[in-house]
Amino acid sequence: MSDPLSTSAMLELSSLSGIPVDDAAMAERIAAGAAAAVEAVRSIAANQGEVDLDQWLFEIEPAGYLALLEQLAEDGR
Amino acid sequence: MRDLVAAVEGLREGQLRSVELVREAIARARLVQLRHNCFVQIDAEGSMAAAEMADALLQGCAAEGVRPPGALLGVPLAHKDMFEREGRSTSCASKVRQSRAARRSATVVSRLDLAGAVDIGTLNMAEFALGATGHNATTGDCRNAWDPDFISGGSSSGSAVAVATGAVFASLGSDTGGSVRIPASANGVVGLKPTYGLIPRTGSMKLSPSIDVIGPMARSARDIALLLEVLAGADGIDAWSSSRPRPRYVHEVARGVEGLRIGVPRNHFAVGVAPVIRAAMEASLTALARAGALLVPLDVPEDVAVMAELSRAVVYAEATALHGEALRKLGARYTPQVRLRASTGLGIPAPVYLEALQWRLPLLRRFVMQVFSRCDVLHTPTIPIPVPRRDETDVGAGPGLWELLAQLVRCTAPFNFLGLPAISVPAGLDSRGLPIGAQYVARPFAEAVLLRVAAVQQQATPLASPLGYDASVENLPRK
Repeated sequence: MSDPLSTSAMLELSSLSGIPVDDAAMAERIAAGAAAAVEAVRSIAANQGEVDLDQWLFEIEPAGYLALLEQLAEDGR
Repeated sequence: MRDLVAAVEGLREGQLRSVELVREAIARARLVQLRHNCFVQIDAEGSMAAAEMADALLQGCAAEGVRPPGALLGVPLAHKDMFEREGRSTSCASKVRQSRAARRSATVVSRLDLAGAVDIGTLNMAEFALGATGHNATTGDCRNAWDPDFISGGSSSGSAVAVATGAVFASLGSDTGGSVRIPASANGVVGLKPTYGLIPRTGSMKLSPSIDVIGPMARSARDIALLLEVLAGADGIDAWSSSRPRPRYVHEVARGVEGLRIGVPRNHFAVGVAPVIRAAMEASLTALARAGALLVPLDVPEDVAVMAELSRAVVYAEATALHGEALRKLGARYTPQVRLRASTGLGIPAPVYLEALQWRLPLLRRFVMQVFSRCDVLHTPTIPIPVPRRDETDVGAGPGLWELLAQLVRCTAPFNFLGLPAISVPAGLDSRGLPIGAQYVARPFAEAVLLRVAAVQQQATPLASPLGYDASVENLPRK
C-alpha cells in the first residue's frame, strides 16, 4: 500500500486547476477516493511479474478496445 | 397486464387499447409518485395524444388485415432524465443544467419512437448519474418500490421503481458502475447492462465515455429481448458502437439452459456475501441446475479484486474533465456528494488514467480466456448485502462515502471496467420483504445467453410487484 494523497497536495491541485475545493475535509475525502484508484493501477502493474514494455509500445492499442470485444465474441462462437 | 410482451400482443390482437393502457399508466404514475418520487415529469397530454394515434394505426391495420408497424406500438414507457428528446429539456436531475430544449433526440429515444412506444415522462435519477443509492437532494430521494424507507439504488433509481410499481412496462437507464443492475436488484426487476458498444449513446448524457452504456429495465427477460431488438446496433454517429450482426433475441430467450455451463465463483464474488443473499444465490443455482444447466465451480482471476477501483480511475478522470468548466463556475449548484465525486479526477494523474485504459485490454483478454473457457455464464450476486435503509446510507459528502460505494458496486463495477454484458434478475425477497438480485455475466455480445438464463430463473422466481401488476389503479392504496 502506497502513501495516500495528502490533503495539502489535493488543495494545491485544486488551486492550480481552478476547480474549487471548499476545505481540508473535502480535500481529504477527494484524496481518499482518488488514492484508492491510483493505488489500484499501481498494484495491477506490480502484480504482473516481468516488465513487458513491448506490449505497451507495439502491441496494445487502447483505441482497439471495441475491436477486441468483437474479436473475443467471435472466439466464443 | 403481465409484461411488455403481453401488452404488445394484447394491443395487436385488439384486446387492449393504447389509450386505456396509457391512461392507467399515468394514473398509476401519479399515485406512486406520491410515495416513491420516481418521476421528474409526467406528460399526460402528449402521451394521451400519442396513444390515440397508436390506436388509430392499430385499428387501421386490423381493418386492412395487415400487421401493425412498430414492435412497441402503443405501450407506455418512461426513461431516466438523461436522454435528449427534441424540443424538451433534459435535467440530469441537477440544478446545474440550464433549461434548454434539445435540438435532436437521442438515438435510443428515436428508435423507441419509431417502434411506436408512448413516452409518458422522465424518471428520477442520481444527479448526473453519480450515485448508487437513489439519494438526490435536488429532486428528492427516489424511494424503494417495496418499502420507501429503503434505498431504491442508483443511479437509474426512477427507472427501476417505475417498472417495479407498474407505472410503466419498461424503461431505460445507464450503467457506468452498476447503475442499471443495482436498482434493478433492489426493486425486483430485470436490468441489463449490455456489452460496451451494443447500444449507441448519441444524445445521451455522458459520465465516462470509455465506460458508459445504456441499458433497459423491464419486468421479464422476454421484455428485455424485445427492447434489445429495437435498441441495439450502430447508428453511424457514436464511434464506439458496434455494427457486428446480432441474433434474434426474442427467439433466443426461450431456448432454455439445457447443457449451459454456469460458472460459480469460489473467490471474490463468493466472499463477503451476506447469508440471506448467499441462500438466494444457492436457490437460483438450484433452479438452473433443475432446468438442465451444469454448475461449474471456478476461480476468477485475482485481478478482479481491484477492477472496481481501476474503473474508478477511468470514470473520475473523465467525469472531472466533463464537469471541469461547470465545477469552476457553478460549483455551488451541485449537491455536495456529486460535487465531491465529480471533482475526484483532480487526484488522478493523466498517466495513471491512461494506464488504466491500457490495462483494460490485457485484463479483458485474460478474464475472458480464463473464465469463459470453462463456463458460458458467470453467476454472482448483484448486491452482496441486503438492501440498506435510506437513513443509514444518507452519507452525503461525509465520512463513509467511499466505503458505502465500494460495497454496493463490488460485484457490478468490475464488468463495467471489462465492458462485458451482465444482467440482474430477481432472485426472491429477504425476510423484510425486500428484493434480492442475481447477476449473470457472459462473454462480449453474448446477451442472448444471458436472456436464456434470466428467463429460466424467472420461472423459478415468478414476476412480482409490490402493488401487483394486474391491479387496477382504482384499487391501489392511496398512501
